[in-house]
Amino acid sequence: MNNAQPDNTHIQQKDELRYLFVKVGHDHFGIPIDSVKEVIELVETTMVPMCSDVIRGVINVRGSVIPVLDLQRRLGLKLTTPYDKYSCIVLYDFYDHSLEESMTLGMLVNSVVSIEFIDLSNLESSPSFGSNIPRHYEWKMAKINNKLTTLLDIAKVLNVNEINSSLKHEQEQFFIDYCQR
Amino acid sequence: MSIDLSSAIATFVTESKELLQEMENGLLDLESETSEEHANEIINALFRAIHTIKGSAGIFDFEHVVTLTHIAETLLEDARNGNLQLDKELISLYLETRDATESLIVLAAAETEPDQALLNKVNNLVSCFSKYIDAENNQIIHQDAASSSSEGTLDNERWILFFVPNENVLRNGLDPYSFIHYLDSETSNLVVNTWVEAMFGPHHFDPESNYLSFVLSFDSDKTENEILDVFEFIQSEAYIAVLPPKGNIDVLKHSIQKYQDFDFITDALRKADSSFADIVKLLNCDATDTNDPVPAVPEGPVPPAASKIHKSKTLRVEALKLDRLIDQVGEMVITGARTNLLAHETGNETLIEAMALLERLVENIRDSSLKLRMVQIGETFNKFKRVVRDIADELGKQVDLTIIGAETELDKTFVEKVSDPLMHIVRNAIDHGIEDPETRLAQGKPEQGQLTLKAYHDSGSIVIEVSDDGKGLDQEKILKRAIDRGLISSSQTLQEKDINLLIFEPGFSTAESITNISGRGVGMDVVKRNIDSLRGSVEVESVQGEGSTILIRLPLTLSIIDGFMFEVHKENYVIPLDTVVECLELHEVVSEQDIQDKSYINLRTEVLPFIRLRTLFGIEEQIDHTRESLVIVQFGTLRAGLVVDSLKGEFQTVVKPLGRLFEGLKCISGATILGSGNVAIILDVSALIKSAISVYEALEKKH
Repeated sequence: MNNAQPDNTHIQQKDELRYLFVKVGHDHFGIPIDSVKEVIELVETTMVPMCSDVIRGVINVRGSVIPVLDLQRRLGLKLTTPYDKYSCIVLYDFYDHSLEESMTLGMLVNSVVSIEFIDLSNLESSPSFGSNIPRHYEWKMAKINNKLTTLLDIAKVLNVNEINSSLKHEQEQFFIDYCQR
Repeated sequence: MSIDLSSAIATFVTESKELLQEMENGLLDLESETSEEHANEIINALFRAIHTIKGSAGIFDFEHVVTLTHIAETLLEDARNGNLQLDKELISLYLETRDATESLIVLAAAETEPDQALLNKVNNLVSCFSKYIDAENNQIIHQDAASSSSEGTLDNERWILFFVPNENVLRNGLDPYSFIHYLDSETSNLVVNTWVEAMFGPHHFDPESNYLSFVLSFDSDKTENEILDVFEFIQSEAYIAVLPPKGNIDVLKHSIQKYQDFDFITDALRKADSSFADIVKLLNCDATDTNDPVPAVPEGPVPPAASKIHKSKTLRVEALKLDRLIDQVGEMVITGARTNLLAHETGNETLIEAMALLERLVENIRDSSLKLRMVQIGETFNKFKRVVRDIADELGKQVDLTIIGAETELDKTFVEKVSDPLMHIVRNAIDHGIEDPETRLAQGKPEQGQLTLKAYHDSGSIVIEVSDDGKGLDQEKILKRAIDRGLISSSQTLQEKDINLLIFEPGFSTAESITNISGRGVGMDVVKRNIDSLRGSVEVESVQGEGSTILIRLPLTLSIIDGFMFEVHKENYVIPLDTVVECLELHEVVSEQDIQDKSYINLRTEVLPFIRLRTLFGIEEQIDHTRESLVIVQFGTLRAGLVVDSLKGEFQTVVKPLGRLFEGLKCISGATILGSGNVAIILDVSALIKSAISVYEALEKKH
């Protein structure tokens, strides 16, 4: 993280942002690359019982257990594409300010596309309506070679508190379904 | 040249804190101690503690500490000699001294000057002590005057000094020789008589033990106190008595008893002072005449090893190092499991056998390293003696604290985290639970309230119970208050145990007035939060008018558990092994038709409700009834069955946290990494069953 700091200012000076472009469903989305720890191939995940399908499961990364989010489900895409041999897990390291804790989460994406340098002048605001993902997940649109790509507001996408409370609710529902059966 | 003393000071602070804690326990025990022998033992321990602190504080020039402990020690010495009875008032005085000393030490170690309030307190204490000491001295002077006027003076011309160091002086770093040498430089014509016989006794000779006792005689024009000062540092480790010229016969008689050999002492006295011959003769016949009961006494000083207060040898280790060790052992367990798996794949018999042996060793290492973290809860419980005493005094109530199961061991992390909640519960019990003496008498209860702290193991968990015989919880009042505060709605109907649990809600208090001790409504919610964070649970049992009991249930350890693994829909799950009662083939105990529309079985004429995990986890696909297995689990009084796909057996489980994302998810208590590298989820059996029960109950009410 410390190494990223001078890099970051360097990039700022050049009015440039670095993004990792991934394919989720049929669309491309940008993830800020500074906090991407690594990208690994899709390994078998362990299901966490009584969780919504936003949670793909947990995996073992060199001795620590890391939760993996299914990004298609998390972004609420209506049409989902099955994951295949090109699918990857993006390990994302971040510091959650509300929890005052740094943590690692995995995001399952259909494939990794490219790393892009985005000039600040090529940023446009996201559409006021008509997008296929909830608007608060979008930060900006990047214009590269006359093609628009949504840059994700990763703090919103990986809002641990929000996911946690929805998981709790979900679990309750599993019990109610079981008992009503 | 300056020496860095900071680490030495840190050690001194921790050591002093321990000694002061010991001192506090001793004082509190003393209050209830009836046997004189035990009381003396405790006083000796107190004395040692104060003395050690004084000595060490002297090294670091902690002036205030030395002043206070010195005077406290002086008065205690009187108590030790039996001239002074430690009554309740004095014990309170010593308890205050203990607190003041602790604050002084902490301040001194931080190189801060104590503030005026503390200094005033110290001065107060010092003057209180001096009052006692003056009163004592007057008494002694009177006694002395009375006895010296009688015939009991001797006609010796030389000073005689009786010096019997006890067995442990050398071990404690004191060499009697240096004191004698110093005495020699201070006085003239020193004659030393040494009794060495004990060295050739029947016991094995221990080079670190002291076997010698001395009779010294010399000429000097110094006062008795000046002579005694020579031996000041060894005072607590030896019997020392000075017989000045024309001394008191009582001193002589008393001292002679300290020596193990009567012939030696008469001989030594004769050598010590030629004018003494007659006295020795006189004493000789005196001894044969009247000392019939005495020979039993002069068995020499009782070695401190016989002390009842058990001292186990301990080693101080940084907690962080222990944590690291346990982490590493955890990794070893996982890697061991993986290696074992690989060994089995090769089919090499010798390799598998060697692996099995290795596995067993790893298991032993795991158990012993986990035990390193286990501490007895007694230490925490003992703290409450003081708390109970102080709070009860403040409220004018009488409370007797009983401690049961102090030897129960639990993880050190728990001990730290459980101490705060216990404090709140105990305060609450005394403030709200136990009535004042008048009310108690009016209700036909004994004047003194009973408070019990109890710890024990129960089916894979540790239970800590705090019970009082006070007025119990007033459920109507709790309900009313909860509705007032908007914690529940008035239309809600709650079960008795749920009403009791309302007292743990934040901001809840039924006390009409806020006291110093409790009533602000913070506190009990801390209890719930802390216990929850340890994956424990709290229960309240209460009978109005008869008292209440709060039960805290904690898991045994946090990091490595013995697990039991089973499979549901191709995923592995682990539950703590000690919750498992038995495992059965489902089709052997019940036919498929019998459980089509219900979730309980008749197991050996007992009703056993069960949860089919496959269905609970929302897996549509069914498997054949004959392939299903039943795991019967028990948590406290709850017993239920879990229907699973297949059994995998016992498995050493290193608990890995699942992180914030899954925090607060009731039924999932963590994850573990299997030998294959895959992850398995650890299920919280009790939460699983409890959730099922509460959801069933909630649904019942709707219908």
